Amino acid sequence: MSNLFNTTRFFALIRRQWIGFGRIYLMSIGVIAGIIFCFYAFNIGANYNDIKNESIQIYSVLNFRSPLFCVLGMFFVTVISSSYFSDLGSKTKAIFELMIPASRLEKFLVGIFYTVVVSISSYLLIYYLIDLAFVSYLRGFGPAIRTEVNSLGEQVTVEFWPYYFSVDYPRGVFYLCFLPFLLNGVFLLGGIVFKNYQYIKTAISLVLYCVTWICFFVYLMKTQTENTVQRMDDNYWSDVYHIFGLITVAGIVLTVIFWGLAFLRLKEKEI
Amino acid sequence: MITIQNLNFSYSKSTPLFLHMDLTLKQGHIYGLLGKNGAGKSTLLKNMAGLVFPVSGHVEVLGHNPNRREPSLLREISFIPEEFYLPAVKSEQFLKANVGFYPNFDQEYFYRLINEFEIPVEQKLAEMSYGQKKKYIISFGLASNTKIIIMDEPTNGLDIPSKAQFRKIMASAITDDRCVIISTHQVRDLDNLIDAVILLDEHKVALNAPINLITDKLCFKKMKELSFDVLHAEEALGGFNAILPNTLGEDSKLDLELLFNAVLLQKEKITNLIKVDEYVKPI
Repeated sequence: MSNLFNTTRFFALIRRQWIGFGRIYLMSIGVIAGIIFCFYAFNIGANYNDIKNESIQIYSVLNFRSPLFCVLGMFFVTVISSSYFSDLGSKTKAIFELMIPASRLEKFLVGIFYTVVVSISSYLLIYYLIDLAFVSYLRGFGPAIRTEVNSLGEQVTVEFWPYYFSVDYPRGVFYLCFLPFLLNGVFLLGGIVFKNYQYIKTAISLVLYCVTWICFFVYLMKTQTENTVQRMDDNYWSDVYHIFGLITVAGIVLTVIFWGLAFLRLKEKEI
Repeated sequence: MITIQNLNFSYSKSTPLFLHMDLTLKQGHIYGLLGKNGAGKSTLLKNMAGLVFPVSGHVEVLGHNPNRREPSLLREISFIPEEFYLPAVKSEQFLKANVGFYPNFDQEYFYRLINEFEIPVEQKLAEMSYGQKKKYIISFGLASNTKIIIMDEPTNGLDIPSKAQFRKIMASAITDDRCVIISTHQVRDLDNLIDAVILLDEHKVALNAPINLITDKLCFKKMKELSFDVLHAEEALGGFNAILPNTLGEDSKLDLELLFNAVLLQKEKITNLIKVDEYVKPI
């Protein structure tokens, strides 16, 4: 039996970790589902009469969806990631975790499985189901697709109650899909490195780090562009999507670095 | 089975815990690990289990480096810590989740131990008393049938009948291919259980010897008056408990507490008498 990776051991570890992690995960996903439900219920309930009368202003009722999806999703992923290895901060729990006969790679991969695969997919599923239920309810009030004349005098088809996951978002949004994975890497590492209050300490460290970098870049840009004029040309970096692409590549590299650091710290963890 | 060579360990640079420590543990023995508070008993056990990493030196357990935490070694080690955590699940669920990692786990033996210790298995593990939890993890550790059993203060929190049960169970658990290391400062709990003593003092192993060798070389006696050849004596009811060189080959029962104090006070005198190169490093 390999000391590095064994499938039987890997699945046995997934089953074992559910005992400790399952409780936190189920509680978190329950809270998240409750918050999403409340947002939909409150916004629809508050505008119920307008929706019923098909007033034209009420189509902004669901505008909360994007910020809610992003903020809540990031919060959920970071909480789950931070709590997965938090047992290693407690001497009494850590001994059993470290002594369980599974390789360090298996232990880390099971962590990735729960905090990335399970948590992100279940969040998407929960959000999708709640949105599906509420939007289907709204679509029951009248026709969801109408033909209207736009400001140019052209006839366009407008979908008034679109499902959240069927909306066409700007292309730039997809370049930021690395963010939950990057945050997962950062908070997994924080969960291993800090002995207590892992979430708060990681969040504070992250904020301080980001603020420092932002200040540094603002200062750098200011000194570089002071007393200069902007010139538009057609070089490679004039295209905003190339810049987005660079950010994505940097994000992916950082994610891999943070996962690597988390794995190394797990390997070197002492009690 | 366990070889430690030139081990140096410290939690902080200014206060070393182990300096050039050497130790060899063999299979088929139950070792009692003794030492003053802060001597490093628990840390030594953690070094053996790979829970802490030495500053320098070499630790080998069943031919593995414990720091690598390889599954093939971990499934041969049962580590029963002094302080531990059990999840809020029933025994059945706990077994289902953990037994698969120990290929030699003996369920029948486990339930026999559970019955003997009178542990209420229908109760959630987290809701059990400290003593019940301790007996539960001792049972789990023994039933795992690992080659190495490491116990840190296993009798802490056990009531008097449980301590007797523990001694009985441990005595029956030792086999020729197993090595048990029990750390404690309650030396009375190890009476009639251990067959070798390891004593830690001043960053090193002060003594590592089988009990029969100790009693061959030293005689433990109760005396009314002290004779000239007494190595160490302590006042007791109606006289003295004393250690003398066993020049006449007398049979005596090892008094661990007396030996412990004697080694701490007169290390050189005692260890030189017991010295057998295989077991005791000369000081």
